[in-house]
Amino acid sequence: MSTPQNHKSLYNLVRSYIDTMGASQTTLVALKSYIDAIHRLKCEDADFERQLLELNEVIKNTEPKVIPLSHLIEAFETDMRPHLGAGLENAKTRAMEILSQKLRGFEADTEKLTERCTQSIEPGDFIIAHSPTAYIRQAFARAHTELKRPFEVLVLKQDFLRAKELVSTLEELGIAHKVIPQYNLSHYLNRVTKLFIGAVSVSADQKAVTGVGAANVVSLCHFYKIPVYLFIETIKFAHTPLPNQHIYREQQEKVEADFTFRMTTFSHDFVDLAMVDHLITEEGEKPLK
Amino acid sequence: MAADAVIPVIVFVLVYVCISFELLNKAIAALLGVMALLILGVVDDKTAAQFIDYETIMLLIGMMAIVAVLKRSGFFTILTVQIAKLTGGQPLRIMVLFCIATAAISAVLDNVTTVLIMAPIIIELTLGMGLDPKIYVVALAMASNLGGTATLVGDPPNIIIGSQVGLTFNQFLGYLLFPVIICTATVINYFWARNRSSFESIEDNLTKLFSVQMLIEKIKFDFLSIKLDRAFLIKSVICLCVAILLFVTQTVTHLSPGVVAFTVAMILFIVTRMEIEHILLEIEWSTLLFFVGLFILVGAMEEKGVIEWVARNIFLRVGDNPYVMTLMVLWVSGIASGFVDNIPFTITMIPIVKMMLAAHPIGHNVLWWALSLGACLGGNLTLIGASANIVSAAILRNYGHRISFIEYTRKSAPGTILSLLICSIVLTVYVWIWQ
Repeated sequence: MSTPQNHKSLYNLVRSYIDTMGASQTTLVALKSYIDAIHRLKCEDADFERQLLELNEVIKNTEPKVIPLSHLIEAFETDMRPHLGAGLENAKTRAMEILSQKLRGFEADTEKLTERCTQSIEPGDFIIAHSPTAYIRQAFARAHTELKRPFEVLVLKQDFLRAKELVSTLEELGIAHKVIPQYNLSHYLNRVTKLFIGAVSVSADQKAVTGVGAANVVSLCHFYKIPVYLFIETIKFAHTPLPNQHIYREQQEKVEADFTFRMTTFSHDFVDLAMVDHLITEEGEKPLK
Repeated sequence: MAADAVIPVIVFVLVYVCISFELLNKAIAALLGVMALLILGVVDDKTAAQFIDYETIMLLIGMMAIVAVLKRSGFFTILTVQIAKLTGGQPLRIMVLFCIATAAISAVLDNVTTVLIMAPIIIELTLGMGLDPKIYVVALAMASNLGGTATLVGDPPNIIIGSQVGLTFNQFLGYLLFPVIICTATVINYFWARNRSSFESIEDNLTKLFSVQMLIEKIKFDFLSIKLDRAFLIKSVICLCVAILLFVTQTVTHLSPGVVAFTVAMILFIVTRMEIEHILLEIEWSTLLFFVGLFILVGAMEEKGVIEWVARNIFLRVGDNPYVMTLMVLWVSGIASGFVDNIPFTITMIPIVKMMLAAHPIGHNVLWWALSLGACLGGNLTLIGASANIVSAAILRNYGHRISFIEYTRKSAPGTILSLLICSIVLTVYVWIWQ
């Protein structure tokens, strides 16, 4: 039996994944890890179902919820039901096959979304990238190397690792870019043409769960009528409202120059879809309500 | 002992107190002591300069420079992530593989660098699995001190002994590798036996297996996100291999380890085109100055007959039995190094051991091996016994896990006593064979 402490460690890990890689990459890594874990598992035949359901519950209740992963795990649970009790090795093989299928399907969706994102980059664009996920990064690379489109990227340095990943890609490919702290965005608002953001999920009440700081940037762009593009796979659309997305809240003490700030921090922001101009999924642009 | 020996003794004791209780920076304490001797006219500047062992200083600078370049190449990060992958998240495998790798790397590089590379990954791995990282980090620090004992360049006491006594890299390896391997295996076994429940297999738990797979992917992502320059990496590794080869073939080439390390470091600067200023920043100048100060302080005491007095009245009183002499050097060094810095202790002990050997010779340098094993392994006794222990405790603290002096000692002391017991047996056999 895994303990609540193990679950807490896993939730921390998932949060850290989302922070650095985004929800899509987290989903891909989680599915691969699930397949590897099943492959290594040595347990009694009768215990397999319990273990599977326990892990599924843990994955579905991460803070914040990784919606695409939750949805894929829900579908996996349904697909797996007829195969439980058919012998351990048989059940393990089926589970790995089903998960591999889900993984390939999700990879295909992400690939399509990357293509849509690439097509949204037009010659002469000066695009703000805020906590960009892997597909936005890849879209910049493709638009530059394959489509030879001239454009510039304004990198808002918020999260170290994500900004580092993006800047490394831009530098490596020689894509024109500027790196600025998020709070200096106002100086560039007369020049930028688009804002690209990704999201962990979109809740049933039309709120996108995004990286920290995204809400401020979106608000500013919305006010200055800079088109906001939200790229998200359809599987990330949740059936439940924002409070059910389990955005993680933490009380922290930060000491600066002998003064202690007791701060409340949230792992993610949320953005009202009313401030988004283009909602792009792997299936194309979705009409906004 | 002459009457004018009182001043160097007082100065030396004061310096020792300042170092042991961390009242002053080690280098400042030692150099202040030297200045006091110069001002009071106990020694003149020319004599003081002659006390410095330049071979040791050259070897230290050379190795520090090689390590600085290697660290930048990312070689050890890649190696450590590969080890993390190999563990498959099995608690026992984490302990065994990391300890073996740490001991092996510490045999060539300095222990603090090894701990700095290894500890963050083992902490991330164990914390992510909901395990207590303290056991693993203490074992890691112990393995680092153990591994460093096996070679001439692994630990400062060995560098000093090798340089001042003229022992070769191969001699260290030949006589110390065996006890080090046995001690490392014993320490790992001890940790396993003492904390058996923490090392249970996770292969029957799907949630833990899933967490571990996620964790290993995360570690790969975090630690391998550095941009790798393949050419730089290959050049650095080749230079390290050349240095090791030259250490091993010292009896053929007749090149001293200091000359080898220094030359390889210079070649490494040229082939990697690194800015010398950047590397110089990473050389621990305060440690080097500390060494310089201690050589002069001990040299002054030796000149005034203090060392001879200590040797005759304390160490030579045990008689001429080689077994007793060897075990006394081992255990005195082992226990003392657990509480005081083993560098000044070794520098102080070298002239004493020389006198003991002059009075009652013991073949095959057994007394030097006793000093090396005692001074290096004794560092495992307490938290303050070795720099690697202090650094590992600091890394643990950065991850939110404090470990006190008592807690650390409770975890490390039994393994250290076991190591010293094993070394006692090995050294007794050495004496028995060659006496």
